[in-house]
Amino acid sequence: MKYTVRNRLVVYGAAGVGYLLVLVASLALVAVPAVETVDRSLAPLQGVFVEIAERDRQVLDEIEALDRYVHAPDSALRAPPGRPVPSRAVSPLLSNYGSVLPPAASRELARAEDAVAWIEAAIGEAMALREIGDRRGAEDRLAEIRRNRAELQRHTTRALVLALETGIEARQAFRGSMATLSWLVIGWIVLGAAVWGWIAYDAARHVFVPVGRLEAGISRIAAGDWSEPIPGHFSGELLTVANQFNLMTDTLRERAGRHAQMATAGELLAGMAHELNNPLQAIRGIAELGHGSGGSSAKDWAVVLEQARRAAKLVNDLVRFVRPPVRRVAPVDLNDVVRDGLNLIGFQYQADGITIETELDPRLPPVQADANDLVQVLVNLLGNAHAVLQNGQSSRRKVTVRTWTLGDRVGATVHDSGPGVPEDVRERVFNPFFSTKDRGFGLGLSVARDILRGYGGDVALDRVRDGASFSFWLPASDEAAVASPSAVAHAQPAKGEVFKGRRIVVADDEEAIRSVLARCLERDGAEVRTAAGGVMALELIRQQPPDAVLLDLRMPDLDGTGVYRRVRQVDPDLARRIIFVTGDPSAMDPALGIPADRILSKPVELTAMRDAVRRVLAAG
Amino acid sequence: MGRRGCRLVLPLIAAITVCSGCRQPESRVRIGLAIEPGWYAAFALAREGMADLPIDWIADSSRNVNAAASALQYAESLADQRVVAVVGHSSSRGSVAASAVYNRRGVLQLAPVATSRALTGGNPWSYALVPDDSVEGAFLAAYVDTALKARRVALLYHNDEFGVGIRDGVVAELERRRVRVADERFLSPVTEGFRDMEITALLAAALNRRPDAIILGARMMETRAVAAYLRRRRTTIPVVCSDGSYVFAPRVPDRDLTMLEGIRIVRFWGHDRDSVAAAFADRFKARYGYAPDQAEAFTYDALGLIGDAVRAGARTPEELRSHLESLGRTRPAYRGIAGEYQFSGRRAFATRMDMGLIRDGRLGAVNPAGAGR
Repeated sequence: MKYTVRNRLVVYGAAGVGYLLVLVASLALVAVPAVETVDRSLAPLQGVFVEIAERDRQVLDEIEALDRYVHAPDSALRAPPGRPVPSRAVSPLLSNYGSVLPPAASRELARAEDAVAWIEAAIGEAMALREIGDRRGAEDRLAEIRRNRAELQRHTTRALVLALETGIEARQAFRGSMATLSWLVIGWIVLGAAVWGWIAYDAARHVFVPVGRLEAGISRIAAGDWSEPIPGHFSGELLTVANQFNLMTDTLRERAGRHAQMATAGELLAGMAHELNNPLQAIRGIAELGHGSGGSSAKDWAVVLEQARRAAKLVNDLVRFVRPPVRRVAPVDLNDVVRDGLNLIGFQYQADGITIETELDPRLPPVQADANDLVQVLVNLLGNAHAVLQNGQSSRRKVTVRTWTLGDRVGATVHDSGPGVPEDVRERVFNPFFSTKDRGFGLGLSVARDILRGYGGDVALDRVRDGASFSFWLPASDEAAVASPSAVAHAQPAKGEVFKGRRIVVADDEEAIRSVLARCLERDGAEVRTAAGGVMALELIRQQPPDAVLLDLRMPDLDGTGVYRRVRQVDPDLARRIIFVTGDPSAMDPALGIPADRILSKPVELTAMRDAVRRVLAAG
Repeated sequence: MGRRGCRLVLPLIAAITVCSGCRQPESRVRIGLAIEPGWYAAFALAREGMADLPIDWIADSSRNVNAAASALQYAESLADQRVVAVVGHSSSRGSVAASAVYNRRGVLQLAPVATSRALTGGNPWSYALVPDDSVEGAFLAAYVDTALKARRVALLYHNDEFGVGIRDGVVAELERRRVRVADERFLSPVTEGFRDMEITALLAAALNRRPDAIILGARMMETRAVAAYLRRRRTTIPVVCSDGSYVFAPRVPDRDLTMLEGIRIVRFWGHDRDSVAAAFADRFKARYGYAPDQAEAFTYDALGLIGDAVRAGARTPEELRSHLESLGRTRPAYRGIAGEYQFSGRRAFATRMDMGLIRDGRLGAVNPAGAGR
C-alpha cells in the first residue's frame, strides 16, 4: 500500500475505529456481564433478607399469642378475638427465590420453610388441645414449638449466611471484575495514548511537517525568491504537489523571462524609435523645404516628404504601442483604430501576400476607451489571423476587417479565410496561457478580453461556415470622437514673411535639425540664432532675449527642461514663448505645465512648427 | 473407463459401501425418577413396554422426594446428571419445591398427581397430569352441598401446597354455595425431622363445632386416623377426602381399606372406570399381588407419555415439551390408563374426577351428584 496522505488518513481512521471497537468490546465482555451478575445476585438477596426477617417476626408473634391462649382461662377461649389463626406456610420464599439463590442456600431455606410450616401446624394442634381441655398437652406442644423455632432460626440463619456469602462472592466477583475493568481502563488509556500518539507523530512527520515545508517553499517563491525550487523531500500527494508547483514555477519563470526579453526589446525599440525621429526630422524638413521651393525637383521632394511622413508615423505608432503613454479614456472612432492597427501590421500581410480588406462603416458612433488599448486588441486579432494564414495552405488567403453598429454596440470583426477553430478548442481560446502557436505566451486573447470588458465591452469567437471570425464591441458613446493622435494634419504652409523682425532661438544638439528649422523660419523672415546645447541657448537668450525659442528636450550639457526653468525664473514672459521640439514627448515633465500646443513631436511638420511659433508670438 | 479411472473409482465405491453399512450410535436420553418408593412398581411395569427405547433411567429410591429441602437437593442431583426430563415428584410440596430447580436448569418435569396450582403457574417446564386443587376443592364443596346437604363443614388439611390448595378451592365454593365453614384446622406438612400432628386433637376440637361434614385434605395415614377416631366416638358424620387419601402406602397391609368403610375419596382414576383401567389393575395385581392406586396409575401414564415422546424422536427437553404440547393438536391425544392426555396451561385437562366410596373394603364409584370431569 502506498503511504499517501489519503491512505494515511484511512489508516488513522481505521486505528481510531479499532480503538473504539476495543473499548466497546471490553465494556461488553467485562463490565456489562459483571454488572449484570451483581444485579442478578444482589437484587433478590435483598428481598430474601427482608422477607425472612418478616417471617421470623411473624412466627414469634404467633408463638407468643399461642402462649397467651394456652395459659388463658377457659372462659376466654371462645370469646373474641378468640383463637388466633396461624398463618399457612406454602413456601412462598422458596417459590420466589429458589431459582435465584445458590443450591445450598435454597436447601437451607427449604428446611426453614419446612420448619415454619410445621410450627404453624403445631400451633394449630396446641390450640386444639387447649380447646378440648388438654392444657398439659398444649403446653407440651408449646414447648416443642419453641424448640423447633430454634431449629427454624438455625436454618434461617444458615440460609441468610449462604445468601450473604453469595452476595459477598458476587461482590468479590464484582470487585474482581472491577479490578479487571480498572486494568482494562489503564490498558485503554495506554492503548489510546499509543494509538493517538502514533497518529499524532505520524501525521506530524508525514503530513503537517511536509505541508509546512511545502507552504514555506510556496511562500518563498510567491515572495519572489525563485532561486531554488521546492525541495522534493515529500511523498505521495505532497510530492506530486511539489513537483507540479516546481513545474509551474519553471514555466512561469521561462515565460516571465521571455516577457522581460520582449519588454526589453520593446524598450530598446522605443529608444531606437526616438533616435530615428531626429534624422527623420531632418529628412522631412529638408524635403518640405525642397518641395515648397518648387522647381523640377518638387515631385521628387514630394515623394521624399511622403515617405518621410510615412516613416515618421510608423515610428510613432510603434513607440506608442510598445510604450503607450498614460491611458487616456476618450471618445474613439473604431475606424481610426482599424487604420492605426493596419498601419502597424499591414506590412506583414503585404510581405506574405495575404489580402486585407476593410469594410468601415462611415457613420460609426464613437466609443469611450483609450485608443492605444483598442489598437492593441485589433493588432492581436490581426496577428492571430496572420499566423493562421501564414502557416496555412489556403489558396485564397484573405482577412476582412469590418466595423459595425448593432443597437447600442459598436464593434469590429476580423474574419480570416483560414481553417477555422476546432470545436474542442473553441471553449479555451480565451483562457490565459492557452495557445495553438509554437511561439507566444497564449495571453493575447485573454488580455484583449480583459481590456474590452474593462470598457464594458467584450470579444467573442463567432460561428461561421468558413475560416475564423472574432468580433469585439464596446458601448457607443454620446461624445464626439477626437482625432487619432497619429492623425496627420496636412495644414497649408503659410506664405510670406510672417515672422519678419522676429528674433527666434533654435536649440538642438543635431546640426541638421537646427539647420532645417532655421532655414524654415528665416524663409519666413525671422532672425534665427541657433545653439547646439542648453548652455549656449541660455547665453544667446541672455545676450539678446528672443521673441520665441524652439527648444530640444534632450541636449548633452543642459537639457531643455533645465533651460526652461532658468528662463522662467528670469523672464516668465519669455518662458511662455518657449516651444519644445522633441522626439519623445512622454519624457516631458508634467510638473512644468507645458501645454500640448507648445510640445511638438519630431519629426515635426514645418507648417505645424510655424503655426506653433505664430501662436506664441500672437499670445506673447 | 481406463485402468487409471478404475484405480480412482473403485476405492471410492468401496468407501461409500463401507460407510453406508456403518451405523451411527443412537443418541440416548436420560430420564430421572422422583417418586415414592411404592411407585417404582408402576415404573417397572411401564419400563417393560419401553425396553426398545434409548432411555437411561436415573433414580434413587432412597431419597425423600416430598420434603422441600430434600426435594431440592435431589432435583439438583438429577439435573447434574444431565437428565432431560423427570417424572415426579410425589407430592405437591416436593413437586413445587423441585420445580424451581427444573425450571432454572431447563429440565422437563412431569408430576403424576400434584394438584397445586403453584406447580404449573409460571413454570414453563413443569407439567401435571391431574386437575389442580381449585377444581378439586370446588368438586368437594359441591359434593358436600348437593350430595350430603351439609350446611356446616369442618376443614382439616395439610399445611403445605397440597392441603392449602384444596382448602382454598373448598372455601371458595362453599362460600358461593353459602355453606358455612364451621371449623378449619391444618395438619403438619410433609417435612423431615418433625413429628407428625396428633390429628385426633384437631379432630376433637373440630367436632366441638358440630359440623355436618368433614372435608379432609390429607393423605391416607391421616385418613385412617380420622376414620378410627370417628369409629371410637361412634360418630357417623360423613368424611369427604381429597385425592391424596387415595395414595396408599407401599406396604400391602396399609392398603387394607376395611377400617375406612364409608369414607368418601375423590378419584382421578379407578380400576372400575373402563376396560383399560381394569386391564391395568389386573396386570398390576397379577404382578405384585395388590391393586394399584391412582398414583401408580398416573405414574405409569407419565412414563408412557415420556416413552411416547422418545419413540417419536424427541431427545431434548425442548423436543419433549414440544411433543406434549402437540398432543391433541398436531398429533392425536395420548391414550393412557387414566384416559386421553392433552395439555392446556401445562395441565392435562381431560382427566376425569369422580367421588369414590369405600364399601366392603374396596374403593368404588359412588355416582355422586355434581361429579366433575
